[in-house]
Amino acid sequence: MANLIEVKNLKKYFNTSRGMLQAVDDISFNIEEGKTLGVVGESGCGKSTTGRSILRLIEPTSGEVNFDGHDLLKLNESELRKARKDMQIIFQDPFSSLDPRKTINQIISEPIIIHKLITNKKEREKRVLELMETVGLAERLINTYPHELDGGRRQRIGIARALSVSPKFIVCDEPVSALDVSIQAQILNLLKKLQENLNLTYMFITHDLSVVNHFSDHIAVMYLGKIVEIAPAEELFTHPLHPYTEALLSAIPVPSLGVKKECIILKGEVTSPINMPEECRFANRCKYVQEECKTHTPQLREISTNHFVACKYPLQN
Amino acid sequence: MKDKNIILNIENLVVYYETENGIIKAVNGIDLKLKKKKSIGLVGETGAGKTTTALAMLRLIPDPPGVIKSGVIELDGENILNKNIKELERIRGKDISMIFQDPMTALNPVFTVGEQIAESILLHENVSKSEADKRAREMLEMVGISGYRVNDYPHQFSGGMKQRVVIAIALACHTKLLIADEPTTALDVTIQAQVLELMNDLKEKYETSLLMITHDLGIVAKVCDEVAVMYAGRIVEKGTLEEIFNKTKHPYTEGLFNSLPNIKDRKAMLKPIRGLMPDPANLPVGCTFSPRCLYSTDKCREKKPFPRWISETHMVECTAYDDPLFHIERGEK
Amino acid sequence: MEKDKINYETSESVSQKYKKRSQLAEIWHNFKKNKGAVIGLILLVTIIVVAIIANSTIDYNKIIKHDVTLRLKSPSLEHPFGTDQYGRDIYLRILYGARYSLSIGFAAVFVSLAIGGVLGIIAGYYGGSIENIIMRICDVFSSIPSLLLAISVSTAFGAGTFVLMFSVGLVSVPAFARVARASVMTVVDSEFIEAARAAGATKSRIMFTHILPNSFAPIIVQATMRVGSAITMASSLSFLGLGIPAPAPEWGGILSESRSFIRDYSYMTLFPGLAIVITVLSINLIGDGLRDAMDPKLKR
Repeated sequence: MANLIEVKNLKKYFNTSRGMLQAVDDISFNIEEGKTLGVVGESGCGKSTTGRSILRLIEPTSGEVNFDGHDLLKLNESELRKARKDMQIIFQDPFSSLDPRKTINQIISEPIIIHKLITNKKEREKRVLELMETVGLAERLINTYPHELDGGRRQRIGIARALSVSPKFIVCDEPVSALDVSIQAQILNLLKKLQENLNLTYMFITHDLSVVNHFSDHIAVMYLGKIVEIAPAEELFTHPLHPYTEALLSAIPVPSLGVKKECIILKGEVTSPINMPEECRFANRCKYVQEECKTHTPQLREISTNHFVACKYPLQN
Repeated sequence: MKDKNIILNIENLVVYYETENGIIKAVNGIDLKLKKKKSIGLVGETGAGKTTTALAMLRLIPDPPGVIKSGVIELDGENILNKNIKELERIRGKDISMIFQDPMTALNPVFTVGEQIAESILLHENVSKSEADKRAREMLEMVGISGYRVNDYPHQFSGGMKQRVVIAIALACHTKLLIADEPTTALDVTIQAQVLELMNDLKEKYETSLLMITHDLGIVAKVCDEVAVMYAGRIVEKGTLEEIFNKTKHPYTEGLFNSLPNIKDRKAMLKPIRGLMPDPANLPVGCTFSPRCLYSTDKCREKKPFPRWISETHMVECTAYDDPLFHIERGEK
Repeated sequence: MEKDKINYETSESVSQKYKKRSQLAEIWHNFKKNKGAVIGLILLVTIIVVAIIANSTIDYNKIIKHDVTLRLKSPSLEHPFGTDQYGRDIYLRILYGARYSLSIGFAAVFVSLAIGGVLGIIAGYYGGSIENIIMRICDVFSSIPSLLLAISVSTAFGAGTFVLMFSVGLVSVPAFARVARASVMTVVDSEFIEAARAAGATKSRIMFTHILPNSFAPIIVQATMRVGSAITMASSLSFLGLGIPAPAPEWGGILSESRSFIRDYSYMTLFPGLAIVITVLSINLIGDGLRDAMDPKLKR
């Protein structure tokens, strides 16, 4: 399978009054066509910024984003607008990602109108109804406003909107975090089914490890702007190599009894992402920390097939 | 006969919101007993009525439009519902405290954290200001924040630390019952682990009883002794941790477990509960869960289920169990 | 998942079948529930209707004609509000004068909206140095006491209705710019704007389809509130002799001319004063009602 997305040395720095905020700091990864890359990390790790930088919703500071052979970062404004037809995004907050003054019909048809895919109004409406059926929204809701619906339905509108232009790639930015557990499950099943039927490629951003395991082919773990570990999903869960991944996995509260799992409680807080010095960013909280970790920033290296980790002393099994 | 060992006794609590668009039946008759030093998880999704129940315990329901239609709420033997404002103010923060979901907005940005902890102490105990300040500093240390930060402002702390400050305020007066409404939902999972461990420790140390409101069954497994599952304003199943997790009886509880992504079994499609929670202004006749229930029968749709005791501690409200051979997929057969 | 049968053969479009109440109708529905707002609306409509009728039925010459025999008569059946020092019927003058206050009030606000609103929207959307320049110019204007500003403009360009509308309008431009800018800024950072960009929308499409409709509400509410102060300011200017020149029966002008008689003939100042108060009050009530009706967060 060919790579649909190839990200090389992506950086996004923000120049703040207190110094340079290295939100995304030199990350590289590939996503194969039709597959899902899960990107996990806690708040401030840069996963959302990464997703938006790839789509150039935020302009990256430097790097390369090869989408289907073309470097997105080299496109001019009008070429970029055209390219947006192939790459879409589903947002986390179903409440603020929909224009409160537009009906469902208007919201879902907007991308179609922008890219002039269907100019006949009735034809367009037909397409909207098809999309609504695909995502499980009843036909009678076509003229309702977002505030009249619950979170689950609104998120379906967001998905329908993303699908309206038949994209190849969708960035899912925490698409189920704001939803109730049973609704989460419905939406996740829907996304999975759509991927199978439409051969979609996903970048699935989340902080919820149990969800990402269920959903992804590969998983990248981010910490303070860097990818600290990237591996096939099953491998990451059974043989985590980075101490942070280990701590993250152990922190998930397991909904069953009798599982005596050692819960690693990380000491301390995340260091500031501003003006970070040359050191392993996880050093101050790592229970296996060595001297060298405080003076040297580790790079990603392949430890076993397709399993990369950025740590001087990766865990043994 | 009042049992001295029960810190919280709720009987047949009914809370409605009477709006001009209709009556919203938020809580429809719930019974709950919590023993001292024990913790119970109140589990349910949005709209189940958990927060309304918690607010009712502190008499914080906005009135209008909220009305406590009937019921008994007893805290350590005393009836909360017939207390006046002055008496309530004495109880809130001292005998019963609440921490909310969002630590960002729970703290006043113009006062230092030390002042906010001390405020709680000064309100309820007859101590001097310097004594209160000293205790505030001790509480801060207790929740794992350096005492030197007692003069810092909330915005100087991260989310996890703010929530710890909130816990410090709640426990400053050695409260008997702590109500925590989704206290870790807004926090990262590693910080959540820290905060939950802290809550467990403090629970032990101060012998505080805990009512933990959450939708996360994993948190319940970590922190609670008992569980009550709420749906559309009623408790549909309650029991000990062991009973709810391993001897699940109610189809909704089963549905909740099935909706969770299983770390052990990746490839399986999730089994969500179809449909949505009913509109509390328009509840179905009969069992409120029946429209979504995989096992529902005509009888379920017609009449309301009544509480059925499987053991001394395990209760379930499900008409399907009228049939002695009925069982759900999950749990004991 | 719920699914309904979809029939593509229906000749009527599906969205017509499920037509819902439009946003405007929704706002009206909410507005109606506010008793104060409805009273304000009824009052204002009455005043407008009266102004229109008065304009077509009352003869202007009749109300400016001096008649010494009728001077300073107290309110009676013949002269409901009494007569002034020139024997003119105050009731008819006040009815006729409504047109001045109303037209100046609304026109002035229109001027403020047009200039201030546009400036504010540009400032809020583009940000950076454009925003800085616009807002600092507005700051300069707002640091001049409003009445003085209006007076200077009026004096510079001479008396007259249009000048009055412009000068009163100019006074409120900074306030509108500020409200418009704030309103746009709130919307610009919203996720649905980002969604529109992600879909490939151009800047102008985002401005007109998304930002403007969502920023309207605070601007419109501000506009209704300002009508009241515009009327009051116009009256003040006329009172000072800078507005509509006598003998036109502008309410402020009537007040001015009646100043010296306030002690013994208080009805002469009472009625024009009341007219101003009631008009401004009704508009403020409407403004309050509109603000509440447009706020989606208020639980109804």
